[in-house]
Amino acid sequence: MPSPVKPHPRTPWQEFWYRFRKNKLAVVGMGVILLYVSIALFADFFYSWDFVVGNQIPNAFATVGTKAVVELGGKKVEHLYILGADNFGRDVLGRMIHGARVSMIIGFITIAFAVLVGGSLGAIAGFYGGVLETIIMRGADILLAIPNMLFALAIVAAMGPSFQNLLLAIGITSVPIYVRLVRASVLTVKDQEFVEAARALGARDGRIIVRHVLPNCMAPVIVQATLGIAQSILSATFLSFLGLGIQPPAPEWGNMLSEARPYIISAPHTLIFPGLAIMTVILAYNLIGDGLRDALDPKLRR
Amino acid sequence: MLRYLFHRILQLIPVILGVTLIVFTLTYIAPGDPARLLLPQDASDEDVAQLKHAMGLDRSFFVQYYHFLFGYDGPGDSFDYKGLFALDLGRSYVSNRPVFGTILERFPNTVLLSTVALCLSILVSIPFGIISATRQYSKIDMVVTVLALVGISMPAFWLGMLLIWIFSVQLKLFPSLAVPSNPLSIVLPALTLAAMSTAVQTRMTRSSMLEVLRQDYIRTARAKGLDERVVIRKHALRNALIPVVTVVGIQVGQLLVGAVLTETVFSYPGIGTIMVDAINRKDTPQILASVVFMALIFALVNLIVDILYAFIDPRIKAQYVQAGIRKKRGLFHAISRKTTP
Repeated sequence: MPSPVKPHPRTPWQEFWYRFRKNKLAVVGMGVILLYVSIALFADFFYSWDFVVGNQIPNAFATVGTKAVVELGGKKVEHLYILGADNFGRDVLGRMIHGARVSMIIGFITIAFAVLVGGSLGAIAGFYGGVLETIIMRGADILLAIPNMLFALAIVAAMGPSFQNLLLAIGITSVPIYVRLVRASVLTVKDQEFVEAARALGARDGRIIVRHVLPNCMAPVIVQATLGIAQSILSATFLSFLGLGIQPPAPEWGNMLSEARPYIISAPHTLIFPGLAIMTVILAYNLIGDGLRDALDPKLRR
Repeated sequence: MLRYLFHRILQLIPVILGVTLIVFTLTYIAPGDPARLLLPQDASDEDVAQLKHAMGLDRSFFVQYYHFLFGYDGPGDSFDYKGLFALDLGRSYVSNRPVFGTILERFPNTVLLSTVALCLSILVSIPFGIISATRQYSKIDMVVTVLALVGISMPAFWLGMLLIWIFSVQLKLFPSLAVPSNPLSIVLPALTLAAMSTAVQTRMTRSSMLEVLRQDYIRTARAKGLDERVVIRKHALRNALIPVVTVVGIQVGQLLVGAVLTETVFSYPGIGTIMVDAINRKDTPQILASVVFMALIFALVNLIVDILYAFIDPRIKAQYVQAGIRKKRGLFHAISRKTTP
């Protein structure tokens, strides 16, 4: 007689997706990020770069939904300013779309860098211990003692504003938290039986760390990385707002806000929309982060 | 307790040295020669070299770092300074005033702004966090949770400008620029600065409270017929607030950094505007001094919070007392092991 309770064998991925899907807000957040990523990928398809950075002085401060004539490649074309124009008559929506590309790239690259560097250092510190661990962890403590944004600001202020320096500043300041996180996880994993088994089978340290230890340390790192991307994007807009990040005329949400600042009274649309873009992206990443934590954290599993 | 205090203060030393070393290294490797910046465009290389010598910039990295910490006494008098520990890092390239003079003069403004924001955030976040937790999944809980989520996702500088647009441009209630003589002008900057911390603390209070409310001793308190208000206030809240205190402590540091942004948006005369002005004018000594100053204040605030924390949570103190006992016992065991075969 077959058992009345059917077993539901799920792969870890299915199990994760099943849990994650239950959090509706997190799924919405994921949808928003997918939207932004695809907008960033196909930015040139919507608006050409030349149009987005080129001045159209006669159309300065065109309000939301204005139709006006613009010059593009020597030709005069009718153009609909869906979200209006800024102080140079540039299309706000177009600049936001190209700005999305910058923000998405910054978020991914800085956190990829931080996870890679911080993760390796943390794994080494946790796995080998000893003097190496002391040096790495004290270094991380010192870096954590400086507030992230202040540190990033100091780096860019010293090195000069450029895209590379911005990435470097945000990347470096994001490293120490992953060092701590990975080290703590490695410490809990490295003495378990399966690691011993791998060692007994003759696996070398490198293989043990990469194939056996690290995969079991990924959950908190993934959650932190999601929240970290939000933090990175926020830091980048903040530095650009202060004139230390992406330099105009290249569009970035932070420098768009900085340019909109003198025109709060006359052109509030130049202020509202880029800010909304920042807020929705950060919000979406935070929602995904919360969802991932609930789905991956074994402590909360019932 | 003294042992804990001592231990914690001792930990501050490597942090201070590390932070100063990092900030100093940044200016050391920064492109652009300060001596050339100070001289007119057509200055000869000899002039630059001479000025570098007078400023002590031709010395090695570690000598310069030593100067940075303990003072510099050059060939001339104009570039002498007493070093970071004497709160003297020379004069601003732009205004020629002592850099720490400007900072100490404006710092009270930043402290005032941060304090108002902190009080505001505590007054709002803790009650709302409690209400939200005690009525989990109610309408008010939903509203609070969503607002808190939006709050942590809102860039402060954007919020500041939105508040200016709503409250000073549209409603004409508060001034958009911060003027020290007008107490109303601190309202918008304080609201802006408080928003993020309020959101973070509300979330923390809610989740911490929810966790405590599930504990057995709360069930016991309810079972013995205590009034729900007493259960919340006397039993749950006291334990739920412990992690909140940590978060508030972290927020104090974050508020100081957030002040940089808020002050810029409202042209508020604090340490943030000093820093941003200095960055825009490439005024290296002033940037260096403000960054180091804020980092040190941040470290100091963390220290104070940690110490307060030990007073609030007896478990922290107990850890140190027990560690002491264990050490003595360990010694005893070591001796006894040697003597017994």
